[in-house]
Amino acid sequence: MIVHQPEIQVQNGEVCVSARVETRNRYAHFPKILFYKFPERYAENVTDRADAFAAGLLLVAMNLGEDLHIRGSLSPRLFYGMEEYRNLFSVWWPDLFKPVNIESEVLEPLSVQNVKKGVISTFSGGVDSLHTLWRSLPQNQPIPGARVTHGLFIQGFDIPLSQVDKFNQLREKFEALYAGLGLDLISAKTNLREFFVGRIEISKCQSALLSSAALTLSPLISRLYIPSTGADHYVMPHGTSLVGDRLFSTETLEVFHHCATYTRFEKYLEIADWDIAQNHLRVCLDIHGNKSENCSNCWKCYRTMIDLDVLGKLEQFSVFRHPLTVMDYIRWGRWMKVGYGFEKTVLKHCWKVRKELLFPALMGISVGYFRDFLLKVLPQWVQLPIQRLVSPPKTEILFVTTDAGLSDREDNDDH
Amino acid sequence: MIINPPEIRRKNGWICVASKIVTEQTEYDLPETLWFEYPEKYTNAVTDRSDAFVVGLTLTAMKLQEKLEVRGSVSPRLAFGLDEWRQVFNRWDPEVFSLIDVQYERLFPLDENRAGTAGAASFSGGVDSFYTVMQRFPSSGVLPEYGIQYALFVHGFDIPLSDEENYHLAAQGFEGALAPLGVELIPCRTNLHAFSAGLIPWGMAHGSALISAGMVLSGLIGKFFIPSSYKYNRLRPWGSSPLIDHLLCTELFQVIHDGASMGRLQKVKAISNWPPAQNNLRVCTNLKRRHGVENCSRCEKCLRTMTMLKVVGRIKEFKTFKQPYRDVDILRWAPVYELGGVGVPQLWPYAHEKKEYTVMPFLAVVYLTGLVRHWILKLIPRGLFGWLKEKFYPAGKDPFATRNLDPGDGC
Repeated sequence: MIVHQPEIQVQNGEVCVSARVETRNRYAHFPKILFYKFPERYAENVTDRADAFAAGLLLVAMNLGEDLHIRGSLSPRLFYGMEEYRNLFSVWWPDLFKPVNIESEVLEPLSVQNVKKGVISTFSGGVDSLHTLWRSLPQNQPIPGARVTHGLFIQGFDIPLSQVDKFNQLREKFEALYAGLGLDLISAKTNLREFFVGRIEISKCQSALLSSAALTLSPLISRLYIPSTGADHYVMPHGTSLVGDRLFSTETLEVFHHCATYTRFEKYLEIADWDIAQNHLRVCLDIHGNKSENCSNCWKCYRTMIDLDVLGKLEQFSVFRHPLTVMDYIRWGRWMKVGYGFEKTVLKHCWKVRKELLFPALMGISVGYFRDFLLKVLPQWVQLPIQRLVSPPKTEILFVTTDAGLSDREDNDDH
Repeated sequence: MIINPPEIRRKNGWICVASKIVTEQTEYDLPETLWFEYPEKYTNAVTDRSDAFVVGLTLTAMKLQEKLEVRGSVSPRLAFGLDEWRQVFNRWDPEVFSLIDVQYERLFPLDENRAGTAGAASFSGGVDSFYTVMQRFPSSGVLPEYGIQYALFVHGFDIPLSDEENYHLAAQGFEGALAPLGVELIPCRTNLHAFSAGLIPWGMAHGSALISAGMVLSGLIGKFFIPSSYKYNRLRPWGSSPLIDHLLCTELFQVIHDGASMGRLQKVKAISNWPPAQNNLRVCTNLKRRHGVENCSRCEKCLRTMTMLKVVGRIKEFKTFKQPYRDVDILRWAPVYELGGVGVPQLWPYAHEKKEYTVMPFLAVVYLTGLVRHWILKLIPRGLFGWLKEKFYPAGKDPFATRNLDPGDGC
């Protein structure tokens, strides 16, 4: 795989950094160009270095078994980190990621003099994002240089590029949130996820996706926080982790996996009384809908609502339906992910603090464990229809946008 | 616990950086001063910042449940990373590592013009150390920014300060092996181990201890490599790990956990043809029986390494082990074999692949014996186990404990 020299273009009020991607073989759903777009006012803060493109495409190249050849400037620290990231992922998932060679034509760091001291945190409105933001505000972070100055909200990460209205509604809402805190929210668009569709699930490429978008903004920021996704993941193989995320650092931009040891429940405990979280929490996976609010009906909404209900805080969260009934707990069980300890935390808290919720919690957990048991013991042909009934819908295909953004340029490049 | 601003003094050809440590507890016998010594030629390399001291003592403060007050300059980047680092240790073992408050008098990074840029690795002469040096010595073909020019060999970590002869013999051997590679051995002496002896298992404390000994030399070192202990897919709560080592960086002192993509057997294989390792490999944990770089060839670590070298077919070239090591000698490993450690499960498929069928029955016996031993040990109640340990191996007998230090040592 060859990643050509990135180019910067300003068009339609946006600054676009893009690079042509060439592969040895032809693949389905494989764009010819990888792009990152930001509002035009950040034109001076983006770089045409290859760091972002190399970091973003490493796992794709490994999955395809193609050596990665980088034509633009690459940070030596990132080069070292990518080699280590390659080693890490080929140890964790040897069948999925092959240990390919990484080559770079120009190894040189970005000059320190050209970098501002911004601290950016990726932001999607979820509990992890809000918790990192909360922990990085001046009242909670005593070290001035560690406080967040910017947020990064990416279209193409969990919101498909085609859902323009949904993204714009959320962007406006979150921009107001950040402005209220005296901070700046940067919105970005990228088609990087399209390279992963059908090859690598999102849970394995989160960090590559988030880091690469931030690396495009290297002249503006010196630190990136990737909110952790659960305390288990700091020791378990996962796409975002304490061991992996840091490897996307460069000489001028350090990547941190933020608050790795916090469980989701502990995060709720910390932010449950924060009015901003109460009014802005967005966890919904109802990806087919074009609404920016939580649907209060998908597995992720249920998981969050149950946690908040058990904590006695659900009423304060205007973004969810309430109150919950026993049926809601049973619906929660229908999609429960057994084995991560979430349900045990809920049960433990009910036992200690909310005994009146023990019955519905036990009902939900029984359903969840029964489903899990069935999925383990039943033959595959019986499992499939059950899975169709009790598994969240697949959403990957929504990220395939063959004509998204740069179709004209793709045609030009072909000639 | 109060860490006072460190002071730099010269003493008998050594440069010593020391900080007075004040603790509230009276139960444990801890030294009043934490000190690090280096040969005088590294005078310009040492700093009087408190970074290294807070790294070295945080676990002790957590164990003692004492608030940590750090006087002197500390890097803001380090302070930020230490916060996460403390939380990881607390998550691993909340009973031993309490979450404590840390108060910094002055958060300020080291001046860029004062900071070093050289690459260095911590070095003890073991398999991990030699593997890291082999991958990164200046003419090894490694990316120049990630090569090493120095190896830090610390006296007081796995060799007691009282055992000068063994340290000097080993240092002499390593110096001779590393100098032709363009790697300079930096000797270091410290009493840091005394702050964890009897309090915290060394397996949990050694990572931060190594980093603190390197961090004192921030005026020379910009990248500090810690050879990995475990492979990425076998990570566990351990003092040095790719999960946590990077949290102890400063703005200009990068800590790099190196080699975790390779398992122990792969590393042994890699160094097995390399003369510097063949002549100087030192893995022994037996303080009484080892001598310089000569291994006792009896302890678990020696027997494990020897068996790996045997299976790889290179044991005869390794002059620091007793020879000959025949197939039947593998059985000596059986009484001390540690289940769950690096051993037979890795060796068995390799021996099978290489058609080393003669060693396989012995490996099987070793594994089965280890299994039985493990079951028996599990049957002993924890209380009784603790009592036996205290009776036959009391904390005071620990050669690294404060009472076994020479009061004239340090500065």
